[in-house]
Amino acid sequence: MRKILLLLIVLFSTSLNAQIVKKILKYSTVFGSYTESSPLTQTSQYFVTQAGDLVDVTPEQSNDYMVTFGIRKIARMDYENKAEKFYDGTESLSSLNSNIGAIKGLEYLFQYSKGSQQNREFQSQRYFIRYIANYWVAKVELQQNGLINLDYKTADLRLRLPIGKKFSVSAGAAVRTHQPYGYSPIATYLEDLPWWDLAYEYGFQDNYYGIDSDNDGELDSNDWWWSNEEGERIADTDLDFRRNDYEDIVNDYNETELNAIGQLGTLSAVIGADYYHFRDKWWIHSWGNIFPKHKHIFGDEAYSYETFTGKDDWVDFNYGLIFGWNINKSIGIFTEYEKTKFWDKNLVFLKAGINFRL
Amino acid sequence: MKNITLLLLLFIGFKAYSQEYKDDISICQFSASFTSDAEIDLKFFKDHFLYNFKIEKDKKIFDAEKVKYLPTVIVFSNGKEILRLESGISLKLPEDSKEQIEQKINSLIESKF
Repeated sequence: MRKILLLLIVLFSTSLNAQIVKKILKYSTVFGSYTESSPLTQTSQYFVTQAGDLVDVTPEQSNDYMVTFGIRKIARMDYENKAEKFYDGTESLSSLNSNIGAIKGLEYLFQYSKGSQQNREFQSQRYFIRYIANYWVAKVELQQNGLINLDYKTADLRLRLPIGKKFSVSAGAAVRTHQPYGYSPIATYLEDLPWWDLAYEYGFQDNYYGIDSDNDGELDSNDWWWSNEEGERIADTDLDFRRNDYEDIVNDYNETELNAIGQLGTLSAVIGADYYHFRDKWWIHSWGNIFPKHKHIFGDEAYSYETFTGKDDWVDFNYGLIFGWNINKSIGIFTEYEKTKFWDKNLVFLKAGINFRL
Repeated sequence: MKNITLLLLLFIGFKAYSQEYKDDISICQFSASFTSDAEIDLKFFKDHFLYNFKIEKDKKIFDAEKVKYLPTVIVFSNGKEILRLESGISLKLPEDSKEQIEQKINSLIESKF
């Protein structure tokens, strides 16, 4: 009897699991793509030797390429057309930025890319899961883009109150990870130490020399020439060194120091609103979120934005508006505007246009 | 200029509100108290917007949608009628009404992916 019961439970749970998996995967697309293209044309660079020979020193560039694979179940908003017959991972969907999607229920995107652009190897990944119910919405997102040094994670849980069919307000909490914004390691370093100390730390060495400009046997000015770790002369003056080499040292120092601090996590209260109306003739999709109160929850608190600003009630926000209007059979206008202000980062996107169908 | 913008917004808002029963995916059943036995149960489609209009109360909507038979079920998607099921003179909706509605909605959702 026990065995039969166990068997029934196993059969039932297997069939239940199969149903859940089927429901999760319904409408999803597994995709993979490979793209390769010639790199952007580069201006030729030449070097003339002491003997007057011309040498082409234009850096050789290999083709740009990208391999992408993933699985997606993201519905297009009614105003969005499917760009291609197939998904290749380059699609941009406004539904990912707003609080509502084209459908209720589960939507997700798991995507991984690897490639090379302008001779730079990179990896990118994007994971997105959102569940929209009648009265709540949950979202988890991770974005890492090696090309633009983006590393962003967020988890968002809200209660949602639909007001009519088109408008809804939401309130809840969001955890966002971020770099130590507002903190510049090099600025802090230069507050206490001279700039050349950092060059010494990276193995560079300066060498004093005097300049007798008018050949009267007396020194009129002085400068320093610079050598690298191997003792090779790499710059003739301080200015030459700061122009051509010091920039890389500063960038490396900033990156190393920021990486050593690691990611910080902020828990924020969030209030949002969404409006969506679509007809073939005209449509409007707008959303907005305000993050008015914050609490540092992980990472080194000494570098938190809360510590930097000295308060926990700075206002972060983002909003967007997409509008389209087919004025008549021949003329249509459209606009898209998005603005994000998170910590000390300001991002704006604007697109507007008009179509005449002849 | 401000007033014109305000008026335009109010007009757009009113236009949008006045046809709210056609928004998104909406399933509307047009019936009357004397045909309530012939109605179909729409609870199965609760993930979408459901409306039950009665001729005694909502005559204007019946006229606007040119409903000739009772009951009638109309499925709208963003203002467009995508399916109409009519009872005809038998006062009975087709046996496979639910299947037809489900099929239509599924193909509509599928087209979004």
